[in-house]
Amino acid sequence: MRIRGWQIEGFGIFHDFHVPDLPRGLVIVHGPNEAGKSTLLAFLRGVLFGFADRRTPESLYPPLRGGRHGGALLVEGLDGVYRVERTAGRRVAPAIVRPDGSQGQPADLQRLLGGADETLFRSVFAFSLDELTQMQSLSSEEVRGHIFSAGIAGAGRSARTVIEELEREAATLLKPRAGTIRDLIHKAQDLRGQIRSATATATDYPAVVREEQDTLREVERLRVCIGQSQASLNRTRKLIELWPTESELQQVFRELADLPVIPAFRADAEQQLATVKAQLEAVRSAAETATARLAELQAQREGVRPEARLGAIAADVQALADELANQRERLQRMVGARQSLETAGAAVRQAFEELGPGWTEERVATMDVALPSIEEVRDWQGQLQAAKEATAVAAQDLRQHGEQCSALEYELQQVRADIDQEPASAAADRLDALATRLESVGTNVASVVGIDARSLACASATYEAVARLRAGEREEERLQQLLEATKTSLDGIEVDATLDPVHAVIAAVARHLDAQRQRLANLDVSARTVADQQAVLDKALAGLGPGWNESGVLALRCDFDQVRCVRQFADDLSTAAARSETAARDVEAVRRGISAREKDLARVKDRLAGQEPTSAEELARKAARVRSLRTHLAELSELESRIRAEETIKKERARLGRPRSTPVQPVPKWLTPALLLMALLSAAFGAWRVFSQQDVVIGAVLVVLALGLGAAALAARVRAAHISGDDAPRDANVEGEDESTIADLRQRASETRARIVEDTASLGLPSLPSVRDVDECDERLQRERQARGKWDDASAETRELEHELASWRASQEERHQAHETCVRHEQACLSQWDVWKHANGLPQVLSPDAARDFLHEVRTVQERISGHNSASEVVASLQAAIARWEGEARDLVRLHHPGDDVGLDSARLIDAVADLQRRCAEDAQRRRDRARAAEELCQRENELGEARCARALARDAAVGAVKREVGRLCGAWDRAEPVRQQRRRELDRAARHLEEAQAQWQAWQMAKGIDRALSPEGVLDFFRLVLGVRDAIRRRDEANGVSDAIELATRQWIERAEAVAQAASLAPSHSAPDAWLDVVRALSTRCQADAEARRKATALDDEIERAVANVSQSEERLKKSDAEFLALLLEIGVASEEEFRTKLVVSHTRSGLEQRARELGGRIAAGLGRGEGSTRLREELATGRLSDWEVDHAGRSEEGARLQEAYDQAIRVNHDVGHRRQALEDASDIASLEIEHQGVVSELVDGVERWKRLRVARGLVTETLAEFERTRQPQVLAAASEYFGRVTTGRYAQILQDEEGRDVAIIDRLGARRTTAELSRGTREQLYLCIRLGLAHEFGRRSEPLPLVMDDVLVNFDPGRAREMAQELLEFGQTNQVLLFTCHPFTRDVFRDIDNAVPVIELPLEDVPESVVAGQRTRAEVQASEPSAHDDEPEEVLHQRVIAALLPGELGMSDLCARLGCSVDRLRPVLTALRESGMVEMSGQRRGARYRLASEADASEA
Amino acid sequence: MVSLRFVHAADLHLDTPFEGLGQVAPAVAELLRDASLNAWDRLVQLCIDQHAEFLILAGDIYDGEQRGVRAQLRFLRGLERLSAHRIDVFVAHGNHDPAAGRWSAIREWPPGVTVFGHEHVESVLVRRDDATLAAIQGISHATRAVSENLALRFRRGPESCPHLAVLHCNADRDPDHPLYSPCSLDDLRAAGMDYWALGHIHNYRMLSSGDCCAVYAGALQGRSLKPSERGTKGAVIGTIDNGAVTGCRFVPVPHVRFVEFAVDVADIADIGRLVARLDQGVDAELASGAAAGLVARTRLTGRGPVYRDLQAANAVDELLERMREEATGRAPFVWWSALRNETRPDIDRNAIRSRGDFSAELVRLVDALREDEPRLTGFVEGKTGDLWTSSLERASGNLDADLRSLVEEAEMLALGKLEPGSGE
Repeated sequence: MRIRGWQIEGFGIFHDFHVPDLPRGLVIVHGPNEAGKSTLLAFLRGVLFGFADRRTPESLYPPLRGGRHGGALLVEGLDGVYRVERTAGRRVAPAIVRPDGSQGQPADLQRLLGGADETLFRSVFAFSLDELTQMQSLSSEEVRGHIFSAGIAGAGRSARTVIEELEREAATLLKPRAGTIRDLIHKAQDLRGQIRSATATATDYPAVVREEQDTLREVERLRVCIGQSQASLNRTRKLIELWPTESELQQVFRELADLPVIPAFRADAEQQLATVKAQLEAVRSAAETATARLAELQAQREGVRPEARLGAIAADVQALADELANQRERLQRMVGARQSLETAGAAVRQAFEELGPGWTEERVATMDVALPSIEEVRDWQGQLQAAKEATAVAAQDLRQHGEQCSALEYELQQVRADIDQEPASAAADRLDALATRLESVGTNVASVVGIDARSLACASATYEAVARLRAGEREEERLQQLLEATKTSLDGIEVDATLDPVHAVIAAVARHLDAQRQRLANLDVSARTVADQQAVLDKALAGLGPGWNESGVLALRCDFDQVRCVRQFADDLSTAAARSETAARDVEAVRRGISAREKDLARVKDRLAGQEPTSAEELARKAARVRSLRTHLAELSELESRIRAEETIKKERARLGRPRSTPVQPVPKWLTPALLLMALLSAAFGAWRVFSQQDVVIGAVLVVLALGLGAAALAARVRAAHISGDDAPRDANVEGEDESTIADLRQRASETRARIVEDTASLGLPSLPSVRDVDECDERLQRERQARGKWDDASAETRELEHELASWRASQEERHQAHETCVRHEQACLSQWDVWKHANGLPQVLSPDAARDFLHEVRTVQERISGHNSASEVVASLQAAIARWEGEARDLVRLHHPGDDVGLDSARLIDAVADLQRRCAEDAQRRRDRARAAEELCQRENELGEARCARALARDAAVGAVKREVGRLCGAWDRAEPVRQQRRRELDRAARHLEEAQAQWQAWQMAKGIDRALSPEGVLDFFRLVLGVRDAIRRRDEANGVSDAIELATRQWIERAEAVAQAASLAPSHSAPDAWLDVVRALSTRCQADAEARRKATALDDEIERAVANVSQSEERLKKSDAEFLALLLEIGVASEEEFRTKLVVSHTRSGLEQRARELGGRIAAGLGRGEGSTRLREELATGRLSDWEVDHAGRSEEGARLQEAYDQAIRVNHDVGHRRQALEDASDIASLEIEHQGVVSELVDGVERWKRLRVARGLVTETLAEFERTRQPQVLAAASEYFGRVTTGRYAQILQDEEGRDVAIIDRLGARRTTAELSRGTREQLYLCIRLGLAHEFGRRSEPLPLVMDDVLVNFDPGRAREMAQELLEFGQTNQVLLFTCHPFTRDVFRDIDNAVPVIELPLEDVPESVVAGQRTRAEVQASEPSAHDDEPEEVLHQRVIAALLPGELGMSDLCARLGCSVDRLRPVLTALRESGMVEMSGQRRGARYRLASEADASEA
Repeated sequence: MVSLRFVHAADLHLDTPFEGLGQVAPAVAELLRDASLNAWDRLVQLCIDQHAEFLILAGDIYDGEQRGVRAQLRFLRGLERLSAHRIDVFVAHGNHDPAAGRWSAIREWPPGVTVFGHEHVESVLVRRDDATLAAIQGISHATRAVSENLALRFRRGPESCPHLAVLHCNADRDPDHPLYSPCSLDDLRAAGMDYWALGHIHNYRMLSSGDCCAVYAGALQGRSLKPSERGTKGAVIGTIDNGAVTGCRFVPVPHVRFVEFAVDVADIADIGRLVARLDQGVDAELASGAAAGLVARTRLTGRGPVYRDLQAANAVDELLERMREEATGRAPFVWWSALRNETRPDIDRNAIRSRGDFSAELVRLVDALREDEPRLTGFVEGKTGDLWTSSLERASGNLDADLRSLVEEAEMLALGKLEPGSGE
């Protein structure tokens, strides 16, 4: 591929930049800095592979001069010129136009590029100096990766790094004893074991269920036993606990029988009697208290008498008293108000006196002293003061200017005289001193004539001229010294003429010197390898067995199909054997199963041997009999208990029965209501007679009669109640009922006994069995039931086992047949295997596994045979190459020393050639040095002449500059007189302005009516006096108003006090206003006392009235209480209170005993409970056999504890079995383990796949690397070595890969080995450039040659090597296109010296308008803003460099900074000085400013 | 005449283990462990809600007899519920739960449950109020591997009611399933049944409709991420009107759904967007039907800028962990089973081959291996020979893979590392 040209529409500084037809071969693109070389390199790479975008750190190169961002390349391929056009943007595909005008595809470009990608192109074909040196900054591994492993691609990473990465990743998965995969294998196996264990556990489930049911039955049995034992225990415990109660009950019955029988008392009689008595006493005491209180109140009322006259005026007096404090304050304030009034009047008078005569209050009020007037006065004050100050300043300036003019005129005359006396050969120092004086004088002149000193800038041009003169002197001296040194160097260089014929051919022979050495070394190694391989091969053939030779081994097939067949045979045989074994195991398992079941069947039948237990129906019938017997026995016991209880009650009743008392006549029931009715009628009629006042006496008698009838009714009611509450004898038929009940009970008992006899007869028990007999019978039945259950289970199990046995026997035959089939199949497989071995030539003794190993070994032997043959071929080729080179070397030796080489062996021949090579190289170097020195001598002489001319011109320029400065100063001095005249005029103008201001002030005073004699300050004081008078008048008027208001209020209060005092007949003690204060205070006190007396009298009257009513009520209640007490005694039926107390004691005793008996009876009944059992217990309790009960209780307790323990144990066992069953039912461990196992297996599969991928990938890279390094590297390095040897003129002979394959090493001409780190920077760059040339050469050999584009890569080369490299590049350009960008004319000239026809494209320096890039910082701008190494050079040198830089044309600030290598801050004052001196002109503003030399004349002077 | 519904389900595989999920979080493992049992409970509830007259279970009730008694008891609880609602159940055993297996936990079936034997085809009449609703025939597998065509034993009975048949079989010899009780559709039609309730194929499939309706109800709960186990699972609800089977429809039963979907990374710029795309995929799967949970496996395919991010060490594992963390607490639960990174570096093999560099040599080597199978086998065995006969193969099952695919993947892996612009 060749770049034919480009069309840049807009890219960086380029706009519409076309190069239509580039020449073939090497082309130099030359231009100064910022001409766009790097931009062009970026453009070329961008069009081919895409422009940089914002994600990349590289510059975007926006189109600074406009145009579409991008452009096109014209690329020449084998079939014509393609046009590749690309616009900058994110991954925009290029537009490709084929030679025939059709639209191309990206594949076309890829083909043109020979498959090279961007990284490869950047690394090998298009690079700048920075990118070239990146090789240096990269690590050794990276360098090696570029050069060797993926070197030809240039883009790849080191293959060995990739291998290590892959190996590392694979090792994390699997190592010999560790790794994720092995962990997963172990985990999977562990989980598999757990699953097997859990599965085996689950098969026990039916047995666990049966065990749980058995334990449950045992628990139930024990529970029943415990219940029975507990019932007996409770019975004895109850008897023991209730015996004390029973004993006490019997005692109570005995005490009751000893007490007399009395009528029943009301329960609350005693309490009622006490209540009535207490009420009577309380009522009597209350009546006495009320009477005493009434008398006391009446006595208090007599002492209280209010004053009637004060009541009318009490309100007015109170109002006056409320205002007493205000009146007192008014009197006090009146005195102060009068004093204030007098003080204000005096102040007004004093103010008028200060104002002067003739001023009245009206005139003061009309005077204008407002703020505007005051501000006007202050304005006048400021104007007058400013005018005075301006006049004084103008006078001072005029005086100082005169003094300066005199002094400077003298100094200027002195300088002019000195310069006129200066000789024509004045040195730079003298002119420098004159410039210093001129600078001082110029500064003073600028000050005097009133201009800016910097604008005059007197000495700056002189300084620059002097600096140029001084620089010229130093340059002349330096060139003189260089000339002398060059002459000395030239004289010291000598060359060897005997080597002239050798030079022409030494390079061709020596180029392969190291290769020859390597070949010799390789020959030894290869020969040893061949021998070793032969030995190993013989051993391997022997290992295969007797009769095997190479031809036999090579004839044997051991490819993949063979191995697969062997594996298939192995699998088939293994499967067949496994199946046979499994079938055999199945047969054995079936046999064992049959045996086990036969044993089980025999065992179960043993259990069935003997007599068959009672049938289940018979057992159920007997159980029903037992339950019936228990019921009847309990019923009989209950009946007997009841009979005994009835008899006891009957006896007790007979024993405790009361003697009969005297009969009492009962009260008729109708008597009490009749008496009450009559009493009501009498009371109503009598009351009517009394209130109607018809006959009061009859009415009163009727009322009394009513009262008597009421009392009689009450007595009749009491009597009736007494009779009904008496302990009357029972009804006569009660005894008859008792007898009947007992008989009935006995009848029922006899019937129950008959049923019991019937039950016991069928059960084989005594006719009247005890509870123990029944329990024993029940237990016997329980045992029979269990025996029956076992019998039934065994029968069912027998049937089940017989059924299973039948199916097992049927299965046994099937398994036998299956086993025989498997055995036949296995034998068939073995036969096939033997046939196959015979057909494929394998030994017949081999098993499939052994055959596979054998095939592996055969394949190994085959590979070794192949390797041995290859090694032999290598040895032969090496020997041929060695012979060829030795022939060439002997010719060379004969050329230098004819007839001297005949006896040289290979080693001596190599040494001789190496010595010749070294000597030729040294001689060639000396010849080049001598030529270079001669050339340099001529150049130095020319330069010295030029320097001398430049120094003379500089001196003339300096003297002229000084004279021009003096002339300019004299011209400037002429402007001093006009300045003095100007200042005088300014003084006159200030004086006139002052006079005008004073006249206007006086006119203003007249208009305002103010004394004209007053200054502005006096007027301001006068205004302040007027304002003081106005303020005094205002304060006096305010004091007068306050005094009048106080006096009016005082007078009104005194008038009201006089009216009240007159009504109360009081008068003040004196006539002063404050006397009324005492009068009002006295009246207020009297009114308050009178009001208090009135309130007290009213309260006493009310209380007396209530006390009278209270006395009446107390008397009535006393009468009522007396009547209630008498009625109560009558009701109780006693005559006195003592009789009442005696009967009450007896009644209480009986009630207590009866209550106790009921309590004890209830407690016993509660303790015994209800039912038949309780009756029997009651009878047993009545016997009182406490010792028997206690013995029985102890025995039952022990039995209960024993049963309870057994029961708890059975419960525990049942719970354990239940938990086991529940655990089996809920067991999710199998599912969980399966899930976990599947997860592990899944991960394992993934891991294995990953591991295999990694291993295979590693194998691919390893094999490729081996092949690549075997076939490629020597060619790349050989080519690079040749380039490098020529560029370094034989100093370095060879580039090698180091032992570890990780870096390159360099062999110098003496055979010493060096690393890249030991090379200088320039040499390293040469090395890297040569390696790239080698890589490019290798790439071109295999693919389309690509153009080589380099940006200033030779700058660090010394001239000699630069020339050599130029020579190599020119030669390289014969096959590959080479574009060399440079900003150094030297580099360009080196190429032209070699070949004058080398085409050069000059890039003009076209600056970019600053406005275009406003807001952007270009690289030049960034550099310009930063400090530079040139910032510390002398200013005169910088002046000179600036002028030199501007000679070609105008430049911007940033461009100047870039060219001169200094910062903006350093350059800006220099440019300012040059502008002020008139040497440089500026156009444009701010960032768009551009600088150029002022005129042709000035430029020529510079 | 009566109108009724019946439910047909199959392949419950109660307490089935799940395959190929990798190691799962404990909480998720618990949910998965109970997934098949919960699906059975939902089926029972479906029968109750639909007021079905009877339920037909066409084999593979349990996954295997080694699974413990938990599944049997859970199955029994469901049958008891159905019995309480007077829903008859007809069960035929399949290859996973053959009748000869040791199913010891259930000693007595609830009323209304019929378990068909394995010796001959049994016929049971479904009766309600002295009316015969249907005649159901069925036969169980005696052993795990039944090679007999059991369908040939079925013959329509004389009863004038709909005839239904229950069979666990491989109709039309589906190659993706074991060939147990193989039969053809013609065999089924020849029996003259109105409805064949089939089991063994784990996806719902209607083999024929019309007079002889033959339906695979599919599994009730997927067991892995295989294609046959993915997707919606459920049961078939059949209707009988006027003495004839008039229709059947598939009804999904909420279960833990296994899904797999691919995400093309071509337009995905970074991991964050990839996470969002993965979330969208799961949301779409959840929205496609009711599910009790979702187990997702995603294949990342294509070429894109995110390939570089995924090539970083543990990048895919970290992404998977992140997806799992973000899915925590979702209802229904979502478990990311795996992310398979099948993205490819931006590599053009043809372009590389046309170069003369190292990568080109590698590509040529791979091409040579692909064309020479013995050499390929020898090469792969030589690189992985340690593993070939180790215990690994026994532990992880059959690891025979396509050697060409293996070498191609390895090639991509190597090129991804060698070509900096495309990979690391």
